[in-house]
Amino acid sequence: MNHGIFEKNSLILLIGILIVVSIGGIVQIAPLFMLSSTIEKVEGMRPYSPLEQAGRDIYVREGCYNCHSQMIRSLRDEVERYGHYSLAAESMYDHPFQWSSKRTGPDLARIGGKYSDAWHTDHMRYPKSVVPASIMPAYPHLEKTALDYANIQDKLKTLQLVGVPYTDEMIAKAAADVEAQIAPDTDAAKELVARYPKAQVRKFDGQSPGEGVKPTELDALVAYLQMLGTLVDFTKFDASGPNLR
Amino acid sequence: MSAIAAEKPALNNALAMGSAAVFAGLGAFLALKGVDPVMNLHGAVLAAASLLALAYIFTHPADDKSGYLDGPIRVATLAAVFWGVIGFAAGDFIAWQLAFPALNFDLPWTTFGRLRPLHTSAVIFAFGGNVLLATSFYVVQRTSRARMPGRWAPWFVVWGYQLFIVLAATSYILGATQGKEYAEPEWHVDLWLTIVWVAYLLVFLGTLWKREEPHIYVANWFYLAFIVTVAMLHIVNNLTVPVSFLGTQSYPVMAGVQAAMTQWWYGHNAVGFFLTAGFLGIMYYFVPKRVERPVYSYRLSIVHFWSLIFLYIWAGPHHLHYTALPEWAQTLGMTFSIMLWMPSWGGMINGLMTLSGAWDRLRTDPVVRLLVVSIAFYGMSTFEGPLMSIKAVNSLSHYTDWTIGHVHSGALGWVGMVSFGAIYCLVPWLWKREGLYSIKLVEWHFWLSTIGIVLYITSMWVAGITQGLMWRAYDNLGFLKYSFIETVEALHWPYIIRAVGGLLFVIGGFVMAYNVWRTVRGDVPVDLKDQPRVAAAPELRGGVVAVPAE
Amino acid sequence: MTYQDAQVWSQLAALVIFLSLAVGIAIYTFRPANKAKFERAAQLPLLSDNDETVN
Repeated sequence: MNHGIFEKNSLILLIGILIVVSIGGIVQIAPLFMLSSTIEKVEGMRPYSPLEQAGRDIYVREGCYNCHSQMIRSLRDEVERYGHYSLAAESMYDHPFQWSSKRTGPDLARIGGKYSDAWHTDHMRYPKSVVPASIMPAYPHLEKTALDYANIQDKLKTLQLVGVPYTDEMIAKAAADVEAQIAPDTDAAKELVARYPKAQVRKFDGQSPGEGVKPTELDALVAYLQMLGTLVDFTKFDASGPNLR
Repeated sequence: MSAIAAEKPALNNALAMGSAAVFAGLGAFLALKGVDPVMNLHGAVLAAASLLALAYIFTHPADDKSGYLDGPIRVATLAAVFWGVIGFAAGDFIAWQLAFPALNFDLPWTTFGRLRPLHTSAVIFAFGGNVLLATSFYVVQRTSRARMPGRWAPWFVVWGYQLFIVLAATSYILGATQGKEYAEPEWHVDLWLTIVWVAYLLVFLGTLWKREEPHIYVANWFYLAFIVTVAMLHIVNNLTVPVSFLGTQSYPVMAGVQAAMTQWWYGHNAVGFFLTAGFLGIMYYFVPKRVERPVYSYRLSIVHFWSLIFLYIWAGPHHLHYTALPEWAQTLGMTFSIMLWMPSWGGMINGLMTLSGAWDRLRTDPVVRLLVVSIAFYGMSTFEGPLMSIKAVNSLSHYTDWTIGHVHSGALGWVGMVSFGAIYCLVPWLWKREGLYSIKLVEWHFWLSTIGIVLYITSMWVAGITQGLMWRAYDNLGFLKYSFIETVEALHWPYIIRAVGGLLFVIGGFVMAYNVWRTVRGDVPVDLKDQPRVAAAPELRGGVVAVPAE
Repeated sequence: MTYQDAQVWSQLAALVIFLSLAVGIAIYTFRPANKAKFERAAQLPLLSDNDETVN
């Protein structure tokens, strides 16, 4: 074999490069789709409710991942500070994933239920009002901006296409479910909770609920934050097995 | 293709104008029918750019076939300086935001979360990308002794790439993002970049196909690996389904743990192939060229090449230690990251030892000093990287500013300085000048950058290790000692020092922009006697010309 | 084939492939016959850059 062909023939050089740089990716990525042990079997995971998903889109839009992780490592201090280490199953419906790589602010994987809605509302309006040393930007416009959910059905349909188990009923009722999640004690809200167990129903941004009240962007974002990390039932989770960490 | 084009310039022009017209039509359609403001804006920008291209091609039917095609290289060189200054300044601004959050101005468009992707994309893709376009086009033509093929293709690559930058930057500020680090551009911008990138690959390969030299010089191997691998990474990591073909938003195909693995396979190899392999191509051409002696060991460069590209691609999982990524993948990532130390230092030695017998250049030529110090920083950050990929070290460093400091010792020290060195070489060569306007200002740029980088790296070591230790500190009752916000407060002064270091680096960038501008304008150099012969354009050097050994 | 088998075989195959790749590149690089070629190649950046040398 004449090794000189590499520098004589640019196409062979190109193919050689492609082969060499493909191996690593194939070995590391492909098995994650095939090995069933990659994602743990857990109880409680469900797709995001339409309002939570809309809130998640705002989280992505504002680039929260630049400062906040959603991945608690299996280290003693992290588990004590933030709660049970994050499972692969907990982000299996996350398109895009938001594990992040930097904690300028604290991890948010289990932020749900740790603070009141009022705290979140104040915090978004002016972070220093609740955390005086905070260096987080303020987001006062969120509570003043009506949530645009005209295409929420298309969004859920797209997510269904990429593998999130939304049922056709969930998609058909998407817009109604957005409104139902800020309208407590209504029949629509009961239906929503039946479709999305553990979904929290209330007006999240501190304004009063009522007929015809439309959600704000802050409603969606707080609804998302308040459900983060609350779904998996850890009393039924068996940590032994291939993913023992 | 190029053969047809050479014979039929009219056909070539017609094809180019046809494509421009199609894109103008597509842009106009998206401007009017797009379902969100970002898509409307991007449609309008695409239409305007395409119409400008159409008009330019229409008014310039004749082809100047003489010599190397350097016009696109000049554009990319100036673009690198322009975007570089903007990207550095954006980075320093967000550094000040972390010290003084009032600088977020309570407006959606100026928050850290939207500006940080602007900074990273501006420095990596806009500054770094244009440096790579300019140098790769320069190097492949010279070492092949062939003109780039195509009348318009090289121009399309360069201007199409600028359009990509404008589309990406505007979408971040307006809140259109995929939410994945260094892969923030939305699907339609990704598609545009794919088109530009394929054209780039074809122009590069086309030049190699036309070459006079039997051998493909090793710098071109690195450039080719960079172009091909980035294409692969870009396509796989950006697989996504748009919510509407008339809107910007999309949802990526992969989720959770698979998405994380793919993202860091992409993210780490953006470092490995965009910021390392491509810039090693620069090292392997510009260091020998500037010190006027061949690379220390050509054999070492071959071993360097294959081992580097093979090992780098595995290193991604070290970004995911102790996460929900399966342990076997973490171990693989760590192992290969540590092995990567060796080819990295092999390359460093090869670059540094090229100076053997010419070490005096280090004292007399600040451009050589920029190139050499960049290689030193390359050695430093490729030692620190494997260290940080060790799980025990990573448990401390991950999520902290240590990572930010590490990235910047590579980005400012290695990528930045080797780019500055290449730009200072290229500008007089491309604009046919006797030398740079001022070598003294290069000296200033060198020291401003060096001091800035040192402040940056040391303050981020302090910040990262402080915060990492505070997070895991326990009091004597066995409780966590610090609340999270206390660990943030501890970083105030390191953040200020970092921002000051960044400011020095930004000022250095402005000094370079001024020097480049005066050189391009054709002003008489103020200190020509202090500049080496090789600073002048080849035509103006005089004296003996090196001939290849037979 | 069980997971264990797949693991053993893939690791063996990888060892053979990667080792032969490494040996192949080493042979190519250090073969005395290639020495002259590499010496010429190393001079490529130092050749004249004047436009008249263009193909």
